[in-house]
Amino acid sequence: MAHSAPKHRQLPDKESKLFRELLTQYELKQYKKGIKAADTILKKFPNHGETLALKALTLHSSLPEPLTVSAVPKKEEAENMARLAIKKDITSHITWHVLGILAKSRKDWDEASRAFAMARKQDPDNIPLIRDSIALLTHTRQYPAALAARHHYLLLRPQIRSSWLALVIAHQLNGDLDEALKVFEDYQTTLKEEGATGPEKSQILLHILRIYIEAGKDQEGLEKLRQGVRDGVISPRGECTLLKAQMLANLGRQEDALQTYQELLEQNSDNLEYYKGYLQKKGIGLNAELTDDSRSKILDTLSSFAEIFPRSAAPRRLALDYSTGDKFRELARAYIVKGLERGVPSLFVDVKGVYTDAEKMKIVGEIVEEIVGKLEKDASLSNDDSISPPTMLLWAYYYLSLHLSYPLQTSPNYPRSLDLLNKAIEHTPTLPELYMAKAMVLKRSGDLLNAAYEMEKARLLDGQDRFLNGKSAKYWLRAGEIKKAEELLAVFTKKDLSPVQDLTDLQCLWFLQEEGDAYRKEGNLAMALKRYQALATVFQDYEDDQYDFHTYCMRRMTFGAYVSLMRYEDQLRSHPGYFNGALAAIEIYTQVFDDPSITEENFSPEEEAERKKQAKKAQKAEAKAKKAAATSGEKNDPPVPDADPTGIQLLKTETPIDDALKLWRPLERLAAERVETWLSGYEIFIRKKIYLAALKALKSAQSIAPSDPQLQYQILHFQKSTSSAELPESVKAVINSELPSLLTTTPEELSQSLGGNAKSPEEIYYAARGVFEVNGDKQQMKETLLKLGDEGVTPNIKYMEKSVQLLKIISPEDVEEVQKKYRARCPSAWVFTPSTEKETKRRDFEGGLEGFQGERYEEGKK
Amino acid sequence: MDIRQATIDDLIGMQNANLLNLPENYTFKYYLYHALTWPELSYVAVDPRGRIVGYILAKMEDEPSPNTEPSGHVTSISVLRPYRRLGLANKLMKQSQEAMVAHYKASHITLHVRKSNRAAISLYRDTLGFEVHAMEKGYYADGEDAYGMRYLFNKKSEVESTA
Amino acid sequence: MSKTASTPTPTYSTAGTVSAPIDLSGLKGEHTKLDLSSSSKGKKVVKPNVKVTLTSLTVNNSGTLRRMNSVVIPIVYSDKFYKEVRDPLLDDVNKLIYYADIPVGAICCKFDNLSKGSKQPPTLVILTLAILAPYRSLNLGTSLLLSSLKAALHPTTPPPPIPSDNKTNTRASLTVAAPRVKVNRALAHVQVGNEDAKRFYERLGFKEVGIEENYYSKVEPHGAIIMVCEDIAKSLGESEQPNGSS
Repeated sequence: MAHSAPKHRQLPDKESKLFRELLTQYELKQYKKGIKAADTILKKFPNHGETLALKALTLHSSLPEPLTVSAVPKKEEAENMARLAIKKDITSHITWHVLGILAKSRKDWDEASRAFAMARKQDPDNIPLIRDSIALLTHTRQYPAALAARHHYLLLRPQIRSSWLALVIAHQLNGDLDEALKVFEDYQTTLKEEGATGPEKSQILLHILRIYIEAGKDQEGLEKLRQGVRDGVISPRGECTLLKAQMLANLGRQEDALQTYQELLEQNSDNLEYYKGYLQKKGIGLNAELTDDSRSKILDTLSSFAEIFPRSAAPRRLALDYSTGDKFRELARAYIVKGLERGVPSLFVDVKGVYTDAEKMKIVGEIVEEIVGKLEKDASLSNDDSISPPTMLLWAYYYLSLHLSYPLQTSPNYPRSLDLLNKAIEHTPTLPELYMAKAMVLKRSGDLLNAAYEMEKARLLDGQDRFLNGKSAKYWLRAGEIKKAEELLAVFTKKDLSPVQDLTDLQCLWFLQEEGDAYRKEGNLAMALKRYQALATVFQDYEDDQYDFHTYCMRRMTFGAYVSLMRYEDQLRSHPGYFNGALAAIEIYTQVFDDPSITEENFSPEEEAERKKQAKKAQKAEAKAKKAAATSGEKNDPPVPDADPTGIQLLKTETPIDDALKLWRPLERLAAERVETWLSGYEIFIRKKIYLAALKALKSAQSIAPSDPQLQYQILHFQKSTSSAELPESVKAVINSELPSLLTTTPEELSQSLGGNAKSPEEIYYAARGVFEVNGDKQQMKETLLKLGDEGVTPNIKYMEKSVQLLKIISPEDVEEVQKKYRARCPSAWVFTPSTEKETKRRDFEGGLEGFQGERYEEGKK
Repeated sequence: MDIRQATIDDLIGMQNANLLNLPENYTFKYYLYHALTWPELSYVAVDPRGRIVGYILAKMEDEPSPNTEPSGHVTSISVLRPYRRLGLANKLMKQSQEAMVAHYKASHITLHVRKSNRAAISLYRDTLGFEVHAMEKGYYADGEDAYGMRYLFNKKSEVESTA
Repeated sequence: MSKTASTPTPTYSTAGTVSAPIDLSGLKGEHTKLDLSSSSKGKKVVKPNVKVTLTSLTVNNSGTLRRMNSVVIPIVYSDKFYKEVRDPLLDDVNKLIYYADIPVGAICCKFDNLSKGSKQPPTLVILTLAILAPYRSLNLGTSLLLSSLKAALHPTTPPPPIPSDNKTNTRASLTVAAPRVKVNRALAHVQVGNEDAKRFYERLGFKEVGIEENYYSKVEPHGAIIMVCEDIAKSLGESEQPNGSS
């Protein structure tokens, strides 16, 4: 590398020796010595770029993890020094390499990847440089460049097995399967597999088989698979046999494929994919409209499987999906009776899958009513002398109550549902599931605080059960009791951290979402935003986590898992954990944009005083920490505190819409099939006044769900916004030509017909908004919103709440009237309960909880 | 419930189930490490809505010395409370064990359990056939001892062949 | 009704492994299976057969025990009571009974007269015995009491103590206690007028020895019949061979 070093890089012998020492000291992690050596060189040659770079690297590596208060300026110093080093020596691979390493540690993959590319230009055959560079190029999905680097690497290290195999993968990722297989052939002729362990050989072969399938070369793949099984390289258990079934099916050999699925079922008779594969290979299309003939064929097959695999519920459960009418009734009854006898708590969750068919839902209801009736009367379902276990009635009550309160029911019967659960609790008061069910029914009826108290009873029965603990915490959050929830959660989190911190560190998605929602509901948008942004950070971490595996998997030869990782990460953010958090955050950002005053904190004088006190306290603590850090060196050096503990800086953003857009971009790519993505996108673009993007969002939404109520409202909103805006001619032309496909009548007609036809709560809410958008008639908007409280409309507390919020902004004088009607319709809804009644209720619930395990006084014995 | 080999797509769901149910938790990367090193060994139980309601996260003991036989290890196994009484833990364990034998020629499987966690000890011993074979002092972060439990595969096949 | 306490002798060789198998006799896990089939004669058969297990009292299920007692017994017990019944020394006599994995009953006892100078012989005192109403007449109460009587007669090594949460565990607090002496006498209180309960104890060899007035201060009637079983071994039918199973 240094055959003709430029003049500015050359050092005299003494310094040159020091420089080499500096390299060694860095590698041996003797950072203090290293920095000293660097300083000695820099004293004489302050412009020596490579020394500056190595000093930056050494300094950076010496910093504590996680970063402490005193280390923050040092980190900045290192970053600046690394950049200075580039200026001093722009043709050195060392200066670029260091810049790359620092960027990598910041997880700035793009900058790192650029810096490594520069470094490689200076020193093309440097093995560690190439290796890191490949990982970075792959990580940033620059597959062609990664492939080229892989190629180069193989030329330098042709005797190493993984150089070849990694090239196979690089070709695959780059989309060239034929080339991937060709490299594999070359590899087999060049290198013998002697060094590989059994599991490695198996991983390699299995993955090559996957490539064969992907490349459509099933015949060759099948031969290789057979050979591999014969030679004992791969085990026929699991994926290998599944691949075989796929290849056979692709080759049109249905009989053999069927046989192979049979083998798979013998390995695992609880795998639904195997059953479905088997039925499909039997020539029964499961997705097509089923004829009576194919139905009975399916049921025959399933019933013989049920005999072969008596311990597997799958064939009996699948039969419920494919049967109808009386056959369904017969099968469902047997299935339900068996579940009740065994006391399977998840029976309802299992069976409710068939409820999308209203007829089946009705039949199931009748079956369970009949069972409950018979058990109450005879304590037995059979006609001989035996009795059923007493637990059976209990589980039948439990099932029926969940059935009656299920949201798909046109009119959920909450009172009867609760009544059944109370009977069950009287029967067996020690079963947590009953209180959990009661909590759920209450929650569905809107009685949130009552629900939380019931869930708390379940928890009290087993305080060390984390599942019950988490459920209880979730219900407290739903009831707005954030502090109480956190206290409970702390039972299972690390003792030296706050529960929020620990759960954030552990990437606990449900908690971040639920607490964000709870803060949002109580109007603390800053904290809500903080939790939603924490969710986004977790997903960033999930994405960053893959980095190490670009190198690791090539060494472990787990190529199949690696390729699925790459594909998975590419669509990571379509996960509901990201999706829901992002949508909620975007809504807050649009709210901030519409009314920046909501970011101003309105405190009462008492609150203000308290806040000042807290702020002073925090200031003092920080000053103290700084002082301590300065005097005692590394000891007592606290980690860098959260710069925005209340989320207010997030909320007070200057650029709310751009912040929203940043969260939205991944949805556009990765969740384009969800209508919510585009509805949310519209709200962003219309505020940014990018009308064509807003139009595109509407059109995308229309192609997914043309009659979506929110979309209808947005179309009216778009029409109004664009008709009054000053637009360039070209934009106007596009809108004029596209809008008619969205809005087929006049806005007036559409809004009136929406208002007249609205049936579902969502339709009613958005119709009201549409009407107001078009004619500004508050009276008509109110009339429409009142419909949410009508007898014929499924009660929906979420939209009732939204309506009240809307009225508070537009027509505050109507709030009371509307709220009154909603309350009559949903008498137990906590949100509509007046605060005086809330206090009485709260006391009642509290009393019920205290008496739950007997009052706490000394027993009546002497 | 559907029982199948865990894929990368399942890891977030497994992490979620673990956080809901157990006090010993891990960050996502640890799940990645398992799935990308021993892809065949972890299994999930999935409910009709596609939610992961039970899982076994398993591995092989790394770098076996030439004179010890390959050994599987259960890092974590859990079934959400509402999905008990379906025999899911048993099914998950059995699938993972068979994969250990088929793909890694494992002769036995081990796991750790808190000495105080007698419910878990009962599950492993009475339902899953494990036996305590060692005690590890201060194995857990809070200083509690662990029992090392073990299940020998050849023993099982003997039972099967005599049955 | 034999407990699964005996450890199967390991059938594998331990040569070559670092750690040797340890004696499991003290480690009974939390649950013990019960077989009720022999004792359900003369009653309606429950179909299908249901798994019944006994479970030790722990901090985890303390809430369940409280709830159980509070609905079955008209007396309220203190926090202290619930802490004392979890004493490792009482682990084998104090149990919850699970029917199809649902807790449906519990027995809480203590030992009296264990010290050498006591006038009376060592005695198992039954403090509470509760079975939820729908589960009576399934022999669960008898099984529960028999299991405690048997355990009193055949002491085993108590389980290791459970470390407390507040991290003040000293070596002493974590040391396994010494085994208890054999206890062959049992005592129970039955509220005056509760003939069912009286007969229940009589069937198991208990006899009325007297009345304690004002035993119950908060419930009527205040008096309690004192029921004593002077020879547990005889009641269990094993006076000749202490290890014989029923």
